[in-house]
Amino acid sequence: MSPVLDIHDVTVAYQRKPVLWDVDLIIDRPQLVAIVGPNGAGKSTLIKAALGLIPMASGSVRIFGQSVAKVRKRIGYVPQRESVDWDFPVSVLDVVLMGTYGKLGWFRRPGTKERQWARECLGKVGLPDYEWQQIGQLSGGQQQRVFLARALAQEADIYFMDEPMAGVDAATERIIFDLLADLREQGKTIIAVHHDLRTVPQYFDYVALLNVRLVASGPVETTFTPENLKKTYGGRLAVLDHAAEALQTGSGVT
Amino acid sequence: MIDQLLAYNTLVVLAGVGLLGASAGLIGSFAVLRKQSLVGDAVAHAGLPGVCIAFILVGQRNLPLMLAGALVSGIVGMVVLALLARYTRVKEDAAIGIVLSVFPGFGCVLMRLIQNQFTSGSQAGLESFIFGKTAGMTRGDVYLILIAAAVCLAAVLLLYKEFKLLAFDRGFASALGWPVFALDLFLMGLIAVAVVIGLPAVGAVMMAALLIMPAAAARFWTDRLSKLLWLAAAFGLATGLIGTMLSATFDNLPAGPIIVLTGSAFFVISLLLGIKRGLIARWIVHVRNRRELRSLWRPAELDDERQTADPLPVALAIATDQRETPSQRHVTQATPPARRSTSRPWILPAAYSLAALLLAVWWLWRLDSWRLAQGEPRQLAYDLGTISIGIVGNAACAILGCYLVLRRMSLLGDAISHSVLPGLAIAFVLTGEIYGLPMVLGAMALGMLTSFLTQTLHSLGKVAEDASMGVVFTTLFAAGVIMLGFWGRQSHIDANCVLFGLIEFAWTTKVPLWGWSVPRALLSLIPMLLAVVVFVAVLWKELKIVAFDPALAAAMGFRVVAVHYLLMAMVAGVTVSAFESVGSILVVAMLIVPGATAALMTERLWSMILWAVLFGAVSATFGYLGAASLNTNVAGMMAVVAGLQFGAAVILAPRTGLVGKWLRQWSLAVRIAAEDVIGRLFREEERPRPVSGFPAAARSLREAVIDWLARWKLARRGYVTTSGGTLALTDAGRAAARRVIRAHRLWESFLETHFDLPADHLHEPAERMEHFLDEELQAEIDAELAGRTVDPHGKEIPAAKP
Repeated sequence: MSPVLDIHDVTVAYQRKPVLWDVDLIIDRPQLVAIVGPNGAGKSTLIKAALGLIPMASGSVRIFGQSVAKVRKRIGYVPQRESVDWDFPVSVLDVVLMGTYGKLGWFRRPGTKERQWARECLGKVGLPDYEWQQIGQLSGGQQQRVFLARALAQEADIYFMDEPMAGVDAATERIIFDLLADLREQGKTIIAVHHDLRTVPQYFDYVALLNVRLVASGPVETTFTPENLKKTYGGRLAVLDHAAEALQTGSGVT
Repeated sequence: MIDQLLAYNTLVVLAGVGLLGASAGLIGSFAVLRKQSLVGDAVAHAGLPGVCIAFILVGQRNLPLMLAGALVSGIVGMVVLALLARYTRVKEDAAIGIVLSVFPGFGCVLMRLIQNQFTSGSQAGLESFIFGKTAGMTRGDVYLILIAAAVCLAAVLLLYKEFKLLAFDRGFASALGWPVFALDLFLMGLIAVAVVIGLPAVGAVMMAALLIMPAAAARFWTDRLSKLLWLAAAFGLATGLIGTMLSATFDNLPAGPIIVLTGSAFFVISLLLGIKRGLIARWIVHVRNRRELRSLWRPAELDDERQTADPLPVALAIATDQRETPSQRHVTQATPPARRSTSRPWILPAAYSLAALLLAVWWLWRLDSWRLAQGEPRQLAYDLGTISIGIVGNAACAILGCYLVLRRMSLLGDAISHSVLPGLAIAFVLTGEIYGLPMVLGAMALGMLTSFLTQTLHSLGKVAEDASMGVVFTTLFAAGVIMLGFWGRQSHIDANCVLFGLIEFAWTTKVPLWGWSVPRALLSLIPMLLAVVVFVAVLWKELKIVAFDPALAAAMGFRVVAVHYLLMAMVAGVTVSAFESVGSILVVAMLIVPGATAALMTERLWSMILWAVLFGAVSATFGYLGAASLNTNVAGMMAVVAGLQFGAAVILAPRTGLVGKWLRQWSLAVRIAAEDVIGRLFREEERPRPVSGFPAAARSLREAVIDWLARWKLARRGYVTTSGGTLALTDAGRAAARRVIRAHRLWESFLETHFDLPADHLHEPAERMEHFLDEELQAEIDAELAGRTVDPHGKEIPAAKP
């Protein structure tokens, strides 16, 4: 069987300077995957590149053995909370309904069936009574849960989540992780950018340590070690930074 | 009065303007929600040259064709915006400012040419595209508007869900696999249709208001997109109807400004009374919340506790420590300073000014001899005088424009150039003077007021910044036009002059000064230029830090707000001084375009300012010369020349230009191809086997060309010799190839040592990286690898020297 996610030699460059460099990551079976690394390590970039939201300088991504464009309907996405305008005039239910848009096709509007399903998803994240609220009136943790509900409404098999725990209180964190564990039980894969190192061993099965390059990846028990963390967070190798600059300036030997 | 209202003509106009308001309100909602309010404004302005071109092509007034022309050039304007965003580092606000001013400048040039050509009074129709002329609306026009409104409505009904998600969360839409770019374009096209269809009725200047105000007003009443769309359409309809009725009732009021002010009234009422986000509603909620909070107050310690609750595992402590103080191994040596592109930064501007000067002298000479040949009188003094007025005005504008561009406030410059109008009117009423200090002071006050109102609406009324700017400046502009209409009739000021300027008369309009007769324009422009120079020189460091990092400036105790308002006042002062010469639309071109062009040429503030002044002077000179030769509008031509310079800089600028980028890409591709060839030859020598020459045939024309160039480069450098169709390395070639192979194997070894990569994933990255590791970096990696001589595949890493 082809792996759930196969990221092969992916490089993403900004003006030829790599922000994500030769990253290879294979997730061979459904599990909870944490992408961990310092600021500017390219964690969000990796997710966006995998989803085809930003162009790659080289490399390829296959999901369930197929190109991303072919399996869009099986992919769920939770963007960073800051990426949208929370003043936007939509209600909580409207946002969750957006999760059903992918399967609706052009011109069709969501109907009672979709509404019912969206309400169910809202119930799963513990916000059943909020459906008519304007999204800006929710707390940060609630907004995060609305985004999660929207992803649930997508009924995907693999979810990419960009910092689903950012600005979330402890209770909400529990709710979200219980939900993610549920999803895994149903055979889904979750790839989440995660900031809180302390909770990684507690919640995740698999970890990818990233600092522009992939430092290490593997099951949490064997990979989430002090040495690997030290490598990931201990500043980048000077050679790497210089090499990245060389790529940008285009220096060479001949 | 009732009869007048019910007259057939009035009914036609009512229907037309009402529909116009409704469709603009509907489509404008999306523009406002996507924070693109001012893009609509840019499109409205960009439509002008299209109208003129259509007129020239057909030779008579044909509304549908002229609108089609406006639509085409409006869309061209949008495409220019998109291209600038995609391929250059020009910021969005500057790009909008450029489209907003250069396109109408070109339109003015064409309009005057038309007036020269077609004397049959047919120009009448053209001016209405700027000011609007509801009275001339015919049934055919109304049908046209009806069709456009129907198209907009149908599109929004059909694509409601798509537009909604696009506006709310573009990334998510893109992740769903939607063609977001095509949807963007379609929505932009609809905005262009809604704008263009309104041009003849309310004019370019006022169309922005119809687009922005209904949606901004509706937002105060509802939190639902569907309701907001209907409400905005309804507000737009009501604005159009009431505005038209008002202007029909008091028939000395121009329709466009009255419609805008009606929209402003809706906006203000909504701002106060809107039940969802209106000020009063929010104040009530605020008071109630505060009361409840007092009884429910919980200390915020809970969160802090969570942060420090469980002790960090040792590993994490190390990790965090590491982050703060990188260990010895990672301490980077000071990175070498980036190589300067030019060692003598003054050469380029000097060469450019010299070339411009020579061309100008030659052109002037030709113009003069042509005039003599025609039997016209010599007027070199007039020529030079007008050019110098232009240069002084442009220089003052260009200097301040640099700061506007750097602070990404180009559009505030545009806004101020419109909104100073009431200041002029008030100053005139108070002093009876239309020139000189009172005007400048009035303008300065309005300039600061514009910035203040925009900011206040944004923070207090929670209106997006661009929309609040749009509301403020269109309102003030409309008020100014009406005030001038009332009071300015006896004076020389008329809106036309304010809009387009009359630099043609600037040299000959003289006033006495200490026994001399001095052109009035210079009398206001030279002190203004001096004031600007003094302002910038005295506040150099303050302006610099406030532009670069306002937060830091505030933390350091600089009066950020004071500096900001001073800058706004100066912009307003310069704007109004330049009005007389170039008018309000084109003053934006003088403010923004030179600064934006200069930003492409240099990375230093002082040299950016010098470049901007140079660009300003060149547009003044050649704007005048071009206009004099073609017998057309001088100010418009100046804007066109400024736009041309900008376009040339986008393409040719040494570091940022497209041509340079493209050449660098090609030369890199050729170098990589050449290095691949000698690398392959080196490996073949290393492990002899039948020589294969070039392996794969080139797959595309581009590759074939690169291949050919690579071989040519190798032969020219003497790296290879060809004998019997096979290539062989020369000694020099072998030395070069050795460096490439060394880079390749060093990188593989480096990756293997430091990263957890499978063995079959080392070659590909090294294949890319081998072309970029210079000798210094190779030595660095070598040191890091501590004397390793064999790469992960067991091959020898060639030494730096054989």
